[in-house]
Parts: sequence; C-alpha cells; structure tokens
Amino acid sequence: MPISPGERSVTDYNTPSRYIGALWALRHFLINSVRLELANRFRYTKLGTIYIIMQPLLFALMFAWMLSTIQGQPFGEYVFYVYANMILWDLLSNSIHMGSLSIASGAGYFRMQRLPLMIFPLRLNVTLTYSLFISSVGIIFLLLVLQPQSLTVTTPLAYVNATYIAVCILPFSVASGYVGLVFHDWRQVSALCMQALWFTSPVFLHKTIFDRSDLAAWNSINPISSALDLWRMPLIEGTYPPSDAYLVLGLWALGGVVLAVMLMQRYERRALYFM
Amino acid sequence: MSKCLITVQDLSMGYPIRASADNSLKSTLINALSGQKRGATVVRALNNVSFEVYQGERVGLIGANGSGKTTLLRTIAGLYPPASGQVVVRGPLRSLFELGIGLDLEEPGRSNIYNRGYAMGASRQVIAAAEQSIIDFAALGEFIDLPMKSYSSGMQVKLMFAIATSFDADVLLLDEFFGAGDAIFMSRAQARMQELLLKSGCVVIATHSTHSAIAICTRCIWLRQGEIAMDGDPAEVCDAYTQWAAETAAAIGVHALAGTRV
Repeated sequence: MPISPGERSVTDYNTPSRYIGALWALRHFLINSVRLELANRFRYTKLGTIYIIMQPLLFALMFAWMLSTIQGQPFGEYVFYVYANMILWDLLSNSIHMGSLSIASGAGYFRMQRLPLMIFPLRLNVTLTYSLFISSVGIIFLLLVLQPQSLTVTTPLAYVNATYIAVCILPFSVASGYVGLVFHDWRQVSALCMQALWFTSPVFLHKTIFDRSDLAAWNSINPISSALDLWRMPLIEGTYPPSDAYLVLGLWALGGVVLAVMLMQRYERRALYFM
Repeated sequence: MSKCLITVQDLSMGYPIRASADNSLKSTLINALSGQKRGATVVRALNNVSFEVYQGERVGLIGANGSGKTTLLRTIAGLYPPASGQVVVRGPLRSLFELGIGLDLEEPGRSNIYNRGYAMGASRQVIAAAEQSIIDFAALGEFIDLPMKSYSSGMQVKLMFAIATSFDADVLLLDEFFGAGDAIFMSRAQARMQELLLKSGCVVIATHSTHSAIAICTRCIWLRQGEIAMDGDPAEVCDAYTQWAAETAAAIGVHALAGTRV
C-alpha cells in the first residue's frame, strides 16, 4: 500500500497540535513520574519530605543570624526575606541546572518509544514547583507565629505568581535540556551561569543594595529580581508586586519560547544520536 | 485483503558519528575560534529499503551484526529520522528494544507496570484492568512487590514483555530479547504473540536466532549491509542466510590463516 500524500505515521509529532496532543496523552505519566521523582529523592531519608521544609528553614535561620550578627540587620525581618527568596531560587536555579540533564535522564524512555521530549523538563518543572509549595509551608507557619500581620489577602497571590513564574521558567528548562543533551559540559557551564546570576540578583543580599545607580539598569531587566518580587512581596510583605515585574518576566519567557522552539526543531528528532 | 500496517518506502538512514570530545561547548568554542570545522562522519545504516507489513504477519529481521536490523526497527518506531524515504505506521505501536531501560529498579515491579503503562499513554483504569494478567504472565509471584533491582535479567524480560504486549496495539516491534528468557517463557511468549495477531496486529522481530525466526515468524527479511538481501518464507530465507554466513565465516577464516602465515 503506497504512502498517500500528506499521510503521517502515528509516531510523527512534527506539528504543534500533534506534539501538544502527544504531551496530553502522557499526562498520567507526568503525574506518576513526579510522584516517583519525589519518592526517589527522599527514599533513603528518615524524615522524608519534611526535609523540603527543614533544609531551607535551617539555612535561612543560620544565614539571617550570621548577617544580623555581622551587619546588624534585623534578624526577624531578614530571616523571612532569605527564606522566601531561597526557596524560589531553588526553583529558578534547578530549572536550568538540573534542567540540563532533564532530557538526557529520560533516555530510558525515548530509547524505547517515540515521546515528546518536552515531557522530561516539564516533569522537572512540576516537581520543583511542588517542592516550592511544600517548602512554603514552613514560612507560612513561621509567619503565623512571628509575624501574623504579614498574612493578608495578598498571600494567595504569591501562589498564583509562583505558578506564573514556573510557566515562565519552563522554556528555559526545555532549552537547557536540549543544550545539555548536545553539549555534555553544559551542566558545568550552567552552574557557572546561575552562580553569576545569584551574585547579581537580590537573592540573599537585600534588594536595596541593587538600587545603586550602576546596578539599577540591570536590576530593572533582571528576570530573577522580577520573579523574586512576584513571589516574596505578596507572601511576606503583604503588598502587591509592581506590574512591570510580570511584564519583564513575561518578555523573558517569550524569548525563552523562541529559543526552546529553535532547539526543539533542531534536536528533538536527533536526540538518540547524542546518547 | 489485510490492512497494511507498516509501509517502508525507499528508506535510507545514516548515523552521524562524532568523537565524544566534540560534544562539548569547550571544543565547539575552540573549533569556532580556530576556524576549524569538524563535521560528523555519517555511517550509512540503511540503503533504499522498501517493504510493507500487513495485518496478521509476524516478520523476522535477520542479518549479521551491523546489518541494520535494530536501526530499521528504531526508524519504524520513529526514534530515528530517515535521511530519505518514508516510514508510515498505521495504528498504535508498542516496542521492546532493550532490557532494563525505562524501568525504575528502586521501585517494585507493580509500580513499574503502572509507570510503563502510563508512558505508553494508558490510563489508570486500563492499567489496573491489565495488572493481574501481567503479573500472572510474568509469573513473578511475591517478587512483584519487591524492588526490581532484586530481579534476575530473565524476570525483567518477562515483566517487560508482559507489559509491552498487554495494552492494545496494532504494531509490536521487538529487538532480540528472547536470550534472557527460559524455555517455558519462550513457549508462552509465542502463544502471547499468536493472541496478539488474533487481535489484528502485526509483529516485527529482529533476531540472530534463525531457529526462533522459523518457529515464530510467518515471513523473514534478511538484511545485508543496510539493504534487503532476501524477503520471503522464513525457512528459505534462513537457509540462504545460514549458507551465506557459513561461506563468509569460511572466507574470513582462510584470510585470517593466510594473515597468520604471512
């Protein structure tokens, strides 16, 4: 039986609608993979997922104590600042850094059957977002005990914004996955890139430091600053973030989408050649 | 007339082979700065291959190492893009290519049934309905709730085969996996494939065992250096292949001896 013009194989996902359809067909796989990923991460720990809360909490307490001792910053306020920023930084940083291995780590599946490779960065993205939400239980608890006035109507907005941030970082995670598949040293390079971003973003250092004239221009377009504002301000400051934070992050995300689609078109079908 | 489930038309396919050092940003940057252009060497694996597989056929792919059997299976599965030509698969496809991949060895077999089932696009209800028959076919007993790292390779093969053949598919692609199974499993696998065919599917199996090919298949394709050398009745094709292999081995043996003498 000859192939009729325009006839496509069942394994052909080369149009956006078929690609999205293939992703949708794998929604149960995605949910189950996230569950397995979380189970694997804490399989050999006695405290299990409590570590997701304990680790940033203890780190924030230690860091805030250290800076309050050295620099005389108010401990109470600073511990929330560090805690909130750090758990979001984990999402942002790991989306790129762990994202570099996300596609390669799915080789066990795509060496067996044709799958839309975006499912693997998406799995990482959902896992990290879930971890962020679980981590935030600790900060909500601390706020209830120490600073209940910060919990206002804006608090739920932080979670809506976190979802927006996760969606915006996804294309970069996808791009990092493809680059990591092709270039085996991208993991190291991405770690350096994230370190550079960490030093030039108000993650642990107070954001007022970045208002200096020589840093202000970068700070106004820095996607990390915008993401941190979108998460931290409604969560611990009880205020609405500036609208340009949404815009800056959205524009970066659009750039990320263009990059991810270019890499996808180039490497999606040839992924096995790099394994 | 039976439905045509696979059409392979003028298929050619080549692998780009690179030195592993070329897969780094560092070497790419250095090459770009020094003006060197280091392209990949392309190894031709399939050359103008054409055939069709119809509903109810069990097709065996035989041939020497490097003849293109695995490449052909993977190209049919959509894992490799053709360099030229076309492959069309008409109907749901399942594949079993390598032992142990796509399994979480830390998780029990039961959890892996669900995970592999989800990866094939099945829903929880569909997997739950098939769960017990998979466990029964794989004959794993109490092992099903133990981590898969405690399984022997034979047990892994049985479970993977049971999963791959338990969800409805029109096309089943298998690559040389029988080696790890015992004789009982072999006969059950054969019966399972017969069942599959009754459910209006087709099977394509790459194998080195002419004995398995004759026992299991209704048709055989002999691949030689990426081209179809013969396509037809399993016994005839396997005889021709065995004869060619014996002649080739004898020729290599003579050359090797000649080389030793010199």
